[in-house]
Amino acid sequence: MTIFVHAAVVAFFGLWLVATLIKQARTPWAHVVQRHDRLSIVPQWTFFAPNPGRSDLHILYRDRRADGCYTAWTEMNTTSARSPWSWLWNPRKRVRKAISDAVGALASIPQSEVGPEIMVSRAYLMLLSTVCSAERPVDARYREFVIAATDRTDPDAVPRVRLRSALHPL
Amino acid sequence: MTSAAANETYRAVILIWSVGAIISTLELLSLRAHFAPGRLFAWTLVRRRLARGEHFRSLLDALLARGFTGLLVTRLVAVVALALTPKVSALLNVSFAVVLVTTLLLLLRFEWGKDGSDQMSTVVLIAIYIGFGPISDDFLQKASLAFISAQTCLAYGVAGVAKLVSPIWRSGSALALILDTSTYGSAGAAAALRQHDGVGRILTRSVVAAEVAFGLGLVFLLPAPLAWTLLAWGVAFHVATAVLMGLNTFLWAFVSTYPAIIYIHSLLWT
Repeated sequence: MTIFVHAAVVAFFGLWLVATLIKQARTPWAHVVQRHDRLSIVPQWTFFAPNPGRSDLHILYRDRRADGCYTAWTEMNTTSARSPWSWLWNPRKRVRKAISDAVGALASIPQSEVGPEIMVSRAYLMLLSTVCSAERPVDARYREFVIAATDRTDPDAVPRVRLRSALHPL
Repeated sequence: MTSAAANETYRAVILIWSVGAIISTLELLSLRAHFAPGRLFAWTLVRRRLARGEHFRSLLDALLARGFTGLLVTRLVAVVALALTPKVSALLNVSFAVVLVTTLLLLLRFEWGKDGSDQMSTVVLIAIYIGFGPISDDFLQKASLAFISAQTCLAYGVAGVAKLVSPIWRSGSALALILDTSTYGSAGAAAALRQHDGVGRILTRSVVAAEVAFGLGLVFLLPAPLAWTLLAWGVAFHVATAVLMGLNTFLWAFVSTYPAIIYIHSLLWT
């Protein structure tokens, strides 16, 4: 009996290592691993590489009031400065990472394939949820948002719009 | 190497791992408002991905929506019990199982927002459970510690090779660019690297070199003093990324694997 347990464990660890290796390269096999890994236990180890994140993402939104006028763009507080204690305690990193992951998921869709159906994707709905949870004027009827990327190494550069939403009823 | 040495290694792994698990669970508790309906981590969005069958859906609703705070508190208590229970006992087995189940449920709960520290924590937990949980024996202990060591080397190695093929990393400018962001940066460190770009280049390339060295398995091939130097670099690297980039839980997740590496190194060199 013991020998079967040992063999099963060795096979499991071996399979896990092979799956991890396969997942690192952008190949069709990596997608197969990802599709079958419902718990996300197969890691992706390519931290900050090959392209290190060089920009900050900002979520801005504005509302259309009942009279048809728009409010000014407001930035959501997602890139606020870290506290001096973030080396020990940094819950906000998960919020920033979730937004960045969702934007990355939407940005990974080829432009030629982007259509209105993107609005029912989980990534889009997650961003919409976040934006719609922000406070609004009492006469606000619709809300739209943009995700913009800025580069601190080039402060004069115009922010790049990564995603512009439709106008959503509130 | 005796079973006692493997057990001491297990204690060291689990103690360091637990610090990270306690911090990340408390961080999730502090983000409770973001899990409410209509917020960033709203359950209804995740449920669309997982929903399969009425019974399974009801169970997940109970655990990951209505009972989510309870799940986090349960995990916290179980992690503390796991860290404080030194000897094989019923309490240890129960805490181990609860930590494992709650960790897997948390993996289901998040589609986005997980990072490399969550991944390494999961690798360590599952492997250590197989090696030192209810079915533990000498072979499984060694196999689990070897697996943790292999995943650690793979993690650094893949990160190193991915950097090595990147012109930005090879040019030595990547660290300065990352540190110049608000998300992962540090204004003071970025300014210092701008003033001394030679230092930035050396640091960037040293990260690539050390990660590739781990990937090549040098931490096992080199004799003890040199291998420990590589591990000391790893600790310094994770402390630096915690302080400068706010990657606080990476430190505990990755350094918790080092006792396993030391154990396997000792096995190979004796």
